[in-house]
Amino acid sequence: MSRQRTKKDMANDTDQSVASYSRRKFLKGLGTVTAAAGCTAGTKSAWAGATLKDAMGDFFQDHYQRMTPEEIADALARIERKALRKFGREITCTNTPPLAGVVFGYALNISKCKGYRDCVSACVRENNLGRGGQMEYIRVVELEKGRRDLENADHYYDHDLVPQEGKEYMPMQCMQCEDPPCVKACPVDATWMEPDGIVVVDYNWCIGCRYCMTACPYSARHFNWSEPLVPPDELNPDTHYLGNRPRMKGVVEKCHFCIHRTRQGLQPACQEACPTGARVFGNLLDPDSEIRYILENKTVFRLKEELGTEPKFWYYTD
Amino acid sequence: MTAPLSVSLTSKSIKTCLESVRLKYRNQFLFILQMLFIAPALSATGDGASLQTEKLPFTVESRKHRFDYVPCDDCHDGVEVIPEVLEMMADMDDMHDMEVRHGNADLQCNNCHMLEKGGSLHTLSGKTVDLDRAYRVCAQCHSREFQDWQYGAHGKRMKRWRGGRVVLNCTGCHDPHNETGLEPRAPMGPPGVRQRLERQQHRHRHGRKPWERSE
Repeated sequence: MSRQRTKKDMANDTDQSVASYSRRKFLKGLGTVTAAAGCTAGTKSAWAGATLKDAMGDFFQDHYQRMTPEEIADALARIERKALRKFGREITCTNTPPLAGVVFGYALNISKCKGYRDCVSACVRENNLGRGGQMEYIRVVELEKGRRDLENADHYYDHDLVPQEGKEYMPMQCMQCEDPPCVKACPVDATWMEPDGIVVVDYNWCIGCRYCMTACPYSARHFNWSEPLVPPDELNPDTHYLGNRPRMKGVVEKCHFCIHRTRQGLQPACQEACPTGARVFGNLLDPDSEIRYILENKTVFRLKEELGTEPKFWYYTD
Repeated sequence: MTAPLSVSLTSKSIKTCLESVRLKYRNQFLFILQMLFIAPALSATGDGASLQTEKLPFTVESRKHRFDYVPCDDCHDGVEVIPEVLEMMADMDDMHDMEVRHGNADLQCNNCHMLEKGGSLHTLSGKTVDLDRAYRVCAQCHSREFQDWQYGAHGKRMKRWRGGRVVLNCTGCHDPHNETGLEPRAPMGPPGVRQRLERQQHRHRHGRKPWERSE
């Protein structure tokens, strides 16, 4: 092509090359299907690091709430196999059911929070979140003391020492709303509220449209823009299907109150990590629980309560 | 005529007198009320022998094993110090470098500690309190904090949210000698730049917004 290429030509070329590339890729994929179907063993790098059987199993996997127990067991085994292949680590993936008579609630004493961000790092490690700033479920914002001015809050603060004079700190995460707008927004029902009040995501069913992210008033949902990078030796092997199992690129995820821990009676990782004891977690249906004492005896407030989403996450002061 | 007038006067003066008394002694009256009704409640929660503390719905983390110099009566004979021990301890006296700032520095070691019984604590009424039950001593003055701690609004909870809960003792976070809590320290790192947006951040820093067309 000797003549000077215009921008428009280049754009056309790009379009064609994209089209032909994807067609080529498709044909190649088709070829591999037939080839792999003929072979007994799947190729190592094809199928996103899975065997053909697992890739097909994932593809035809039903919605979590529609799966039979056998299908769920298959899905869990697939997750474990895929993790072994990807990370070289044995993990256990469970689907521990909700506890009877339990609805989880959270309370946070903002007069105690000192902004150490220990909860954030504990959460990242516990829930196998992608490292390198991919996402963090908890954001600790720094506010002027006495002014709950979230518009001028800073969650990138990086002082030598915290707490700073004249500042207060307020961690924010998924509020596990009782009337969750994210669930209403999801066009494919990939997210729902469990009987214990935790809003969960079936990552396999999520199509990555991110409607839920725009619906959430708390920016509590996060999208995997790229494959989450977790160092294999830091992978948490104790996982849950609706919680911290390794996620894939292109799905939305969120805080799930450490579903794999709390359903076994353990504290969520953020509460366990908090050195100040500002975080209180418990059963809202138990009148003797710590969280009920706080709700009944302390001055509590919820973030953006006027929206009517009924968050199950309260802030309180001494 | 005079008698009823005087009666009305006296009744009026009695009224004003009572009013002034009421105003003058209102605070004292409230104080007496407090002493009558609230103080017994406080002492019930605060005293070492209280019933409420006996049925805490959780275990308190033990800290006794961390103390090195607990048995005061190894060195102290009453208030006097055994001379041989004094010589021995001359170059390792960090126990006694302790500065007590608690309660405007009016409190002395023996306000809380006993010389006998392994340096354990005692309440104001003289009942012995184990070192692992320091909260009973603290509760004598800090009753509000104690109540919050007891029911879950104050204090660091460990491990489980139900079944076998463990809670840190008051002394797990607060140094009772110096009234210090958690020290300021560096926070964990701030949220990073999202993967593959590092370059955009770089451009952003040089004046161009990510959404601006590049020429």
